[in-house]
Amino acid sequence: MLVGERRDIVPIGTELRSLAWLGVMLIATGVGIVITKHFDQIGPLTIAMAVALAAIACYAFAVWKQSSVRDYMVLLGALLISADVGFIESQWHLLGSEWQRHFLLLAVLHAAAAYYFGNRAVLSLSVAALASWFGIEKHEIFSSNADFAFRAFICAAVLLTWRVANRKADFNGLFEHSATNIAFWGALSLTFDPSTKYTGFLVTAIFAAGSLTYGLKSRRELFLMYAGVYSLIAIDVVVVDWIHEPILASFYLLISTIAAIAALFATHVRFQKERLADA
Amino acid sequence: MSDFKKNAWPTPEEERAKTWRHMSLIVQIVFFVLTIIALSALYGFITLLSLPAGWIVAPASIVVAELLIRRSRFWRTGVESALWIGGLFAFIFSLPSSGKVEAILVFAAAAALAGWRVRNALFGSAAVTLVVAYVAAKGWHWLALLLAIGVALIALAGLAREWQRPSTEMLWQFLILVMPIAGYVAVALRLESWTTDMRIAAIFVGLAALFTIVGVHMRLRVPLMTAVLCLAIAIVEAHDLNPVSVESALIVIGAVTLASAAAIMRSLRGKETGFVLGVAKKSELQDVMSVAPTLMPGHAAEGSGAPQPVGGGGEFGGAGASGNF
Repeated sequence: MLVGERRDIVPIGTELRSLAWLGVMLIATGVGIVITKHFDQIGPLTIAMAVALAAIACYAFAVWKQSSVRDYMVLLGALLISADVGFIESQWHLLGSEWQRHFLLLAVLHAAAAYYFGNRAVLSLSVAALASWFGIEKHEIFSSNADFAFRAFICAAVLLTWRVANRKADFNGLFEHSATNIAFWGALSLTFDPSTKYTGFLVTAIFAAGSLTYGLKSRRELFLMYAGVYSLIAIDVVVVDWIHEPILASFYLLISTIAAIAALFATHVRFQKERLADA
Repeated sequence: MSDFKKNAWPTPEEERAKTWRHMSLIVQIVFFVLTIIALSALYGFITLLSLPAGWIVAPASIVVAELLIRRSRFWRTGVESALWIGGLFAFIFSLPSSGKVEAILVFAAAAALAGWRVRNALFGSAAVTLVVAYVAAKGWHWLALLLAIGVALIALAGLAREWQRPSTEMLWQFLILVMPIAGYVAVALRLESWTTDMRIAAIFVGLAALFTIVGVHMRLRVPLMTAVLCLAIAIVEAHDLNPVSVESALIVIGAVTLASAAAIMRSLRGKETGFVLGVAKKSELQDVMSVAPTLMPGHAAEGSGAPQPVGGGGEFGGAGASGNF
């Protein structure tokens, strides 16, 4: 039997949304190249004004026209604003020695747009800009070897606070996944540093316990996966460093990975049983 | 014992109903990666003991995979697929290297065998892609393109029919999507400098038209996606005919793509049969993917302007504005 004879309804919304997203990315890439290659020919002021006007036009379109591609016009507007703010700061140094604060400005602008339009893609740009600001901003407190880890922890804490204050349920997942991953990256960076190895291991274990508890309470398996995988990496780093002997180290890695697979599998089975019981 | 033999594969009904032990895509990826790490550790351990690693890892991993499939009904967990493909590849890696291009065919055979056993469309497509790569590596670039197009057309014919197993349908879908790209890369590699060949552009325009007609007529999504892909390849191939700069072309093509998507969405609004918009599904995978921009380096205000007072980009994070300006 031919397929067409039996399919009365063929949803292609996902494919069309992907096409719209691709269009946005092509435009943003093109604009990025224009700014990079032609700013001396066109003139920085003209470029800054043109990109700003294009971004405003995108937002205006999203405000006044109920279109199927409204979300993508908002995303394009946000990407153009990012490009424009970065370009303006690189040309005129409006923030002087505090140039890295333009990321904070972008985080605020994107967050405002994300909440106004209810757009998760733009919120992810805001979170990324915030993470960039925390990744660059320098203070005395961050002058130690654990610089990256502290900045990651503070960034994760800010994201969790934002998550608590957030009133748009659709955005919660993004905050939770971003905060969890950033916190674990910070903890692992401490673990990989020989001088803070054990502190990093302990912090990873604490975060893993938190992620595990949250995953079990909210019945979200991915947080259990985060706990399992990140703590496996931390334990492996500490133990392999302690063993030294390559044969024993490879044997240990084999056993620890199998144990992690078995533990995660058992957790998955438990989750599936609970889901079935709920159903 | 009879159960062991009977449980080699799930029945088509079981495969459709997903009654065997299976995982979501993201969990499958996690288990696949962890299993490959475990296999690598085993390979390293046996090598350090000066034993023939390939001869031990391959049978051991395949036996474990078969036990998991037949006894515990593992199917789409990521573990059994990793054990099959990892075991076979470990065996190939342990063989003495001759440096001949025929080695590609050995990897293709391994991917095909693993793909057949666990009915994995990705492995099956990888096997065919490796065969196309082999033909191209032999210097027969046009033959490689013809082979890829031939496979894509066979897959199109296959997809037009109803199949009992979703995995078979998935294989046809993967092949239709992958083969035009593999064929184009194979034929593009024949030239030292990248110049437009209108014959190739015309072939891909023709393919785009064919896939569109079949997709619309048969109400199939994947051929429509492939049609867009073929059109994109034709545009890329015709780059020498582009009257404007690359950046202008990107902006124009992006705007046309966005406008086309908007127009099609508008035309489908309110439709209840045939091609419809459908409801966007929210998955946790989207949230995980949303973390990706945070991994990109943030350099938005660095670069061609005057040196910045504080050097270096961020160690993590990006603002969607990365670039050297």
